[in-house]
Amino acid sequence: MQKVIQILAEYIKEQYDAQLDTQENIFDSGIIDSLGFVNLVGFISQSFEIEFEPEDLIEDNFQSLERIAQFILQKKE
Amino acid sequence: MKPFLVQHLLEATCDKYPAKVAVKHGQDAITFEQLNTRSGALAYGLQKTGIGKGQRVGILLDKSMAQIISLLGALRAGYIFVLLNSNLREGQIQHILNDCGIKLLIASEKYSRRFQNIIKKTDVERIVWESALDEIAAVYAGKNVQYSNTGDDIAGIIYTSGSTGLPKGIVISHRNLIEGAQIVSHYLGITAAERILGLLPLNFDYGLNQLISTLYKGCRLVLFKFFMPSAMLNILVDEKITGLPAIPTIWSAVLNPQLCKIDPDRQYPNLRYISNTGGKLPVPIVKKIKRLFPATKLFLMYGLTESFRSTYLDPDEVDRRPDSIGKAIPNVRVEVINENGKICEAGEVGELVHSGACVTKGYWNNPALTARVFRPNPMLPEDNQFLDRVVFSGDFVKKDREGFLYYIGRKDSMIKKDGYRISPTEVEELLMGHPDVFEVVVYGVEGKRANNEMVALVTAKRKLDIQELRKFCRHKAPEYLIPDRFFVMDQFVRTETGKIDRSRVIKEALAEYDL
Repeated sequence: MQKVIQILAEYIKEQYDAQLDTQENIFDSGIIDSLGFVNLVGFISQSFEIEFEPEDLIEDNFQSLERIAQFILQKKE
Repeated sequence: MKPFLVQHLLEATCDKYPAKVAVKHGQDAITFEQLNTRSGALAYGLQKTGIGKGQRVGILLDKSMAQIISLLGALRAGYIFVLLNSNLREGQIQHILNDCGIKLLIASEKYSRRFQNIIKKTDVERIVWESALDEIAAVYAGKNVQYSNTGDDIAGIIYTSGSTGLPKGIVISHRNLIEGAQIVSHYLGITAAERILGLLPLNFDYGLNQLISTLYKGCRLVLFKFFMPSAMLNILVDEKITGLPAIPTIWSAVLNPQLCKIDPDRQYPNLRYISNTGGKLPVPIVKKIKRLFPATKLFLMYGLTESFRSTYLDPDEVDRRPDSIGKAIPNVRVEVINENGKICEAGEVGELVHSGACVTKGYWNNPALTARVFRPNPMLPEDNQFLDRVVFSGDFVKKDREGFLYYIGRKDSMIKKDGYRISPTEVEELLMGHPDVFEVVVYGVEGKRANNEMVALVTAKRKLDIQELRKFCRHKAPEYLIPDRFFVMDQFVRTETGKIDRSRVIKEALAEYDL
């Protein structure tokens, strides 16, 4: 879990030169915009080899880095 | 004599429809009268800071009511608005604050931690926090400010990412904003009944146009932050949206079956028009949009922030020539000019030159670049070309016999290979035709070998087989259009308005693959 969060945080650091707290709301952060979000989904899909279904793409699953990590682990099960 | 200032549009509409909703954002709504009162009070409050007419006011707020009120408040106070997008990098924000010497900043508290260090390295003297805006509006409610601006005074500066990396500031007058709203509202047929989706950021010229058009026509702007592609389709129905201005990247997300499930039977009975700008829509996407929204008019637009919009394709022509950027917008003349400064024949490729309405004032703090792009009008007799300023777009286009224009590519990105002049756009569209390809950047590399190499950087929707992609190209196009080398990338870096940041993508690829 911590490792997944770390990978996500490093991605944000590299792409946006910014830090997100683990539980910070991604959509309110002002760091990621719409297309940044689409890119983030692409990154997760490639790095963790996850096939997303359109049903997965709801804000609840992507609210924060922690929430995304939980979601990734859930998808990998 | 009115309107010659942006605030005149608001005041006139407020007289006509005081209780009509101007802007909606989630559950919040604001009427024209409230917008008028609050922005007037804020203008009064801002003038009390005493920074002086013509000063730049930085606005670091999310797309929101507060952002709109701040922008209008700054204008009514006689200041110049500069919208700062929170997803810019620290260095870019610092550059903008310093480049236009911002002393007064209106900002959201949530950005204080992220940007506190860089703000110290600028001339910002005062910060008005978002939480104070309501109080200012309450304290000075009913106060009026006197206007002393003319329509040719600067209203705002829009910063866009240039090829050099640091954002450059394009200087826009009240007249530019008003003309843009009048012209676009005219050909889109916007009325007071319109409900426009505010999907695009206001620091993007066409996003800003939706706000100014709303003030001008007295229609409704529904602010919306696009994250989940399916949420956009839902809000079209829920808010009875009639006008949807978007950019190609929005459509690549919405029409990607992995990201968005589309119900082909769903109806969008209110949606009257869709407009596209900020890059050419690939033909397969045009066709998909037409299939998804059969009763909606699709306007394909072309323009640069330097001259707002230049052309649009009449919706009735989209089926016949989906790859055209159309003809000049009203009150604008567009010509294709060759290297000798003469107007091109039909079919001849040249640079698109924009004259007439919407020519902005130039680049803030950059006379050299301004002189390169904003030039004397080559369409006038030689001795009198100095009497007018036009925009040399840096885009190669051609005109057909009926006068329809076609985009070829950026002048400085044309690839010379095997004696051909190849447009990266043409090759990118070829590759985008492959079902596994998501997005493509094509460019030329000079040097290493006698012949120039064409390189394609590709992001994939799913696992992509390069050999198979190459074969696909061979079936569809002549050999010279097929890239010499392919690289599959995870994703492309984007500019703050969501376009692929081509120059950065290419620079990083050059370094990574040692090209």
